[in-house]
Amino acid sequence: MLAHITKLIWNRKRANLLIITEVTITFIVLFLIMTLALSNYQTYHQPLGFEWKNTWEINVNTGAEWHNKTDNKQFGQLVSALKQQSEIASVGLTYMPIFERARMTNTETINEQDIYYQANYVDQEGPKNWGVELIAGRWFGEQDNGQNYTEVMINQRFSELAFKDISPIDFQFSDEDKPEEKPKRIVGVFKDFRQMGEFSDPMPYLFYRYQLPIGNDRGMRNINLTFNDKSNAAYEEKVLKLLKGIMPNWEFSIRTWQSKRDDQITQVLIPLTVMSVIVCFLMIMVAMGLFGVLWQNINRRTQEIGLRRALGASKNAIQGQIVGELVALSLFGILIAFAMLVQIPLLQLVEGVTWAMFWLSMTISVSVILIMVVLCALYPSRTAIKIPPALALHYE
Amino acid sequence: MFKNYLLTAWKVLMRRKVFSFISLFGISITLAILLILSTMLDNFLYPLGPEKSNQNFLSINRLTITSKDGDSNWSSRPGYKFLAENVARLQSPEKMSFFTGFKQGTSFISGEKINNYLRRTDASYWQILDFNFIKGRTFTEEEFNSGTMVAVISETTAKELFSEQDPLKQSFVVNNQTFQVIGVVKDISFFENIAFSDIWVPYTTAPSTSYKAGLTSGWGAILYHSNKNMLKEIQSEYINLLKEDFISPDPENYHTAVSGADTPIENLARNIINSKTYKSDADKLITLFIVFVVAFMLLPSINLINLNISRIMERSSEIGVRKAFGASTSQLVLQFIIENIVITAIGGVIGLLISWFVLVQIEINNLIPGGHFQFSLNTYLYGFSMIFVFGLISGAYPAYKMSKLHPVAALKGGA
Repeated sequence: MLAHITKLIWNRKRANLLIITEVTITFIVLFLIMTLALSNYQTYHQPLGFEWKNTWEINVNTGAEWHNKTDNKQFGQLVSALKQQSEIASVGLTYMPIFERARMTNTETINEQDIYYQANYVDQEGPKNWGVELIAGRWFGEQDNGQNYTEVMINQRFSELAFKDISPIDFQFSDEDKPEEKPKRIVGVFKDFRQMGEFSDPMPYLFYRYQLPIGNDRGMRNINLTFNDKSNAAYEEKVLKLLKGIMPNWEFSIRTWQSKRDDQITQVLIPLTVMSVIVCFLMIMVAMGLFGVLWQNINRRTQEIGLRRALGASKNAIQGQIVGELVALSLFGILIAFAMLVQIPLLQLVEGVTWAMFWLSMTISVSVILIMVVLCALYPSRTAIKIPPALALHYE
Repeated sequence: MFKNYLLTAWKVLMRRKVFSFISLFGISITLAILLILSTMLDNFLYPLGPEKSNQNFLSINRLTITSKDGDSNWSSRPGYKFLAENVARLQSPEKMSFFTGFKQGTSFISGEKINNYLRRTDASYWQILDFNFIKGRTFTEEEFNSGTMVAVISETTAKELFSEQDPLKQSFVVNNQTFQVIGVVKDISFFENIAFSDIWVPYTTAPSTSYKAGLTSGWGAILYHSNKNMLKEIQSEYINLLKEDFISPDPENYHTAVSGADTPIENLARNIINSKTYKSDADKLITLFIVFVVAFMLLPSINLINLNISRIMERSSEIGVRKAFGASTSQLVLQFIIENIVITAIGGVIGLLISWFVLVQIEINNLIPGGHFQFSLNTYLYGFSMIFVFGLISGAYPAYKMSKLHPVAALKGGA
């Protein structure tokens, strides 16, 4: 049967070449969008590591580069004024903003491994209040003041990559290029803190402690507030007045983490939706094209079909042949596409496409294409078997 | 004879309605998507709003500064200090303007929070860009120099702040500063990212003068010359200035500055490709775009070729008769290509209607803030050339195959 179908396809190779090309391109397009959607879905469902509800961010803009001596003192005044407000449950500081596409990265060699990680300055209270989970060691805090090391905390991914099963607690490392700096000491490991939101790739992460009384050269940019009760816009006006009262020359913009998160999700979903709609139209177009071509072909092969019927082939056998031919053609097209696409995980062309994801989206795409092809072939094959053999043989 | 071809085309189209529908569906959807894309691009490159004179100015939107040891670099918008101490020394532009990017501006109206975009500009900004004033005027050089608290606002913002009242001479508070409205302009499309904002005020009204110390981030500049051909000269003068004579407040940490004075397409390329050199890589972007369009048209074309081949074979007896009566190959090919272009043209018109509908929907639902999409002459030109190319591609191969048919075989109905 298979050999027979292959022979039939070979006999009409010119016409079939176009169908194969069409299937190949469609399959590649489908596979790419599927991989994109799946990888986004997967990263979205990994734990974020912190709570975002009922939290505000005040972005502080001093209008110029940070001058630690003067600016840090004034920044401290803002923080203590906010802490005195009865409505505010906690005040936490971050250097890099949450739910934004901005990050601070660095590479460090630990245990002969290059670890590429994301870092952030936070104050010692912030992460606790946002629900970041401590899984080993301790939080950094006052006991680290004035020590001969820089206290840092890392996330679980960092720990697993750099230390495998060994405990990273109290491990010290330093940057070879900057021998004048104090070495960093890992005091604790937390679950995760995916600062750039649900759609960002999970990465090794490192917290530096921002000590408000001392500050640092980079300064601070964001004050994050959580509330005792649900916050509202009227209160925002009050907060803004309070801040402007202390620092009239600085600019403050207030946004909730929730609205920043919503914006981020829309930013990912809109292009994905637009692409999916376009791919859907392409698929419909291709499906209708295949249907048309097949129908036309069957009309022209009436004699052949009549002959087979006269020789005693059953209706099912004929239908099987027509559907089988198209499926075989498509499989051939898919095979070509597969040979090209397999390069992606093989040569690690695109970061984040793992074998598991490759096979998953491969399976889905193959099924979608095959279902589409079978549906396209069903109706024309039904018309083919309806033709009475006697009539088909007379046809000319 | 031409009339005959058209008539045949029409008859063929009506004979097998299912197939005609399939062809038309593919053609119209493909062309609609391409038309929507090209209209957006066209609106970006040839805006109809304040930036309509964009053939006469260049913008400076990105600056990369590297330290002497090359270890750290900052890539962001330029800062005021960079513009005032470096860009201001350029000789070739006739006019130049410095302004901030658009930032959040918060107002509270009876306990409700209203967010707008706020931009701080100088006075020449309003001379270079051609805003469409509904009411009032822009601020003068004197008002700018003295830091008068005046503001120009957009139509929608005026409605938000003052509902039905006349906004002129009214005061409002944004970011805790009180401004008096002196002008109202039409809403600006998000695509015109130099002009875009909701509220414009003189930058001399900034709450502090600390902006003068910032070398990086927050600002932008446009350089204007009334003669388009002078823009090239401005570009090379700017790059030379940065290479030879960059004034830095801290030559150790801020050693080299890389930036470019860009046309709209170069600006887009610099943002997308993220070039860290003086070149904007606009040619790369254009190549990418062309590759994308060709790749996108490939699938529908193959689909159409497939369909066309089947349809032609169905007409093999007709072709046999014509051949037997002495029709030449070129005549047959011409006939079929014309037929195909007719079908494509019908599909193209449907596609035009679909894209028009989609763009109107985008505008009504404000999916792109302040976006006005107008089909320009350019759009029609793109549209029709696309239709023509599409029809030619998808018609040529089937026509060639048809002309190869042997008349005797064709008459018998075989292929």
